[in-house]
Amino acid sequence: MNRKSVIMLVILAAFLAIPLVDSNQYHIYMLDRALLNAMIASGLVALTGLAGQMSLGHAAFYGIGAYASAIVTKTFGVPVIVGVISAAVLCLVIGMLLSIPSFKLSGFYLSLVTISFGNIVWTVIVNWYSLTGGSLGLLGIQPIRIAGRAITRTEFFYLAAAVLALIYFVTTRMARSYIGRGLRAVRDDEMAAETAGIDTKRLKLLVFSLSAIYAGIAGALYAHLSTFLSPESFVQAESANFVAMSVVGGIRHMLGGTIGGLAVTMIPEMLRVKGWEIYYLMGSSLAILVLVIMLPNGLAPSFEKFIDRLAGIDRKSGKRQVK
Amino acid sequence: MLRIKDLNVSYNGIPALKGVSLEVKEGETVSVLGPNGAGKTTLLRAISGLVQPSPGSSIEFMGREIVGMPAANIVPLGIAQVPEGRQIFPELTVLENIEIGTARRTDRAEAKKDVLRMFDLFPELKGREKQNGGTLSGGEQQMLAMCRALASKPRLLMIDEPSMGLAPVVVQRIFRFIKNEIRKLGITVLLVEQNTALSFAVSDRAYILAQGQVAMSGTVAELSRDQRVKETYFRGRTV
Repeated sequence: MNRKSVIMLVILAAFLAIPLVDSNQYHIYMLDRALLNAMIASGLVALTGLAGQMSLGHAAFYGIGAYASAIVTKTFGVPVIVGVISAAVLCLVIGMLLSIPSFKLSGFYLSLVTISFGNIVWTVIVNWYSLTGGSLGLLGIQPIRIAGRAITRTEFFYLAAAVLALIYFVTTRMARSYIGRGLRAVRDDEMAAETAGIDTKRLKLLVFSLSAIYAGIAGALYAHLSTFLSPESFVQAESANFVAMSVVGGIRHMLGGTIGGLAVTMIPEMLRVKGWEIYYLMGSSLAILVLVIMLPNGLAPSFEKFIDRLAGIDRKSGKRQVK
Repeated sequence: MLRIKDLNVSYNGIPALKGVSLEVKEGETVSVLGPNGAGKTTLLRAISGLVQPSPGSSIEFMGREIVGMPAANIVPLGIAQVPEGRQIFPELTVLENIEIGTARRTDRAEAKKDVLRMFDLFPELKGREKQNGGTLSGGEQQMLAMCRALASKPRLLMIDEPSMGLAPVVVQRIFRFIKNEIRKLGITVLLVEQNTALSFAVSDRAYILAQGQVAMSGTVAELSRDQRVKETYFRGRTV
């Protein structure tokens, strides 16, 4: 194993050890949420970073996944895993439908479509009382069970980390395959991609549904983590927040979604200093602003550069420097 | 090989091509000439499926009607296009740019070999496989666009204004390539150009488009003797 992988593993192990060291339940809950956000942001890295398609409506998939899994498990009394799978399938179908406007539209126009989509889904959630409980929310959702008892937040942390690792693996494999090459061609020049014989519609369909599935799974897991859903969690501003995560993390980097999801979720929490609580949101927004200006490519490329330096790898040749 | 009959294309009601008929036989190099706005690029776009012709238009390739087929399905039939202004993928590497051309080939092993063969056709690109396409010079990008199209193993290669924005020496190189190498590969060429002298030098026949219609057509020898062609394109000079 090379030195870079060793350093990466050490950092990963340190991250995974956090819930063992810090027993504050609120901190662990926020880490759980951060991992879920990282799943959604990873989907946006594939959608926007790789394929150049913009979505400002992914909170809708998060919401659809959450409500779908909650309703399915409540109504039919099936295990949580069935709920999560049905959430993923529903998001796959709706993600495919949302990709249809992208066949003709791009840029601002596509963004507007996705914003409207988010608003429509949110309005449906708020108004369909009999199904979603409307603005009162949905109570009494099954928690995930292990050996007959509800999962702890720490156990959830490891479950979510495993799901995120799977998402990372799938996305990376796809990005390195001919599909990834095709997606980047679509991003670079769609018309040229089409003249080269690339089925741009099929690729867009694929990447839209993939990112929708990621958000749907995150939503489903969230429903069973909090056991209570309220439409507020899925408002339009959340969609923008997911985009912010992917950009802060590094939209062109495979680790961008993970790092951005963790950073943008945890930074506000770290700024909740005693006596200054009322300023923490302002402070965290400012922190994000500074990060975007100072690191326009996101945190992930700088993170990798830092690791490379630790491992003594020369960035130009990709080889270890011999001193 | 390619037979176009009564092709009409309009953009939002404004006609760009009006009843164009044209034929390209197997093994020929045919050029389409004409000033800006004559409809040359529209013609290529109609063939490659990027614009929809009006009803009644017919484009037959190898005996098969291709009007209405999506662009992505036309490439596998054996039609490749080198687009105007090159349009390579700037953030894909040189190698990836060429590999994109093989996306629809089913003979994967042979396609892989063909990708490598491109570097023999254009040694200028050798050693730059890992570089981003956008870092190449204009001429090299034109060569790369040519490679991408050739990698799809086309029967018919459509080249749109290869001389655009390139230094004369590079233009010479590209046209020599069209004349010698592509012919050797047995590929039929439909060339769209503004540079009449260069096009005549590499073509068997030519069509001259004006305002969306075929104004003249014939063999290069016939056309270069034609008084109107001489006056319009060569200002009375003999070719």
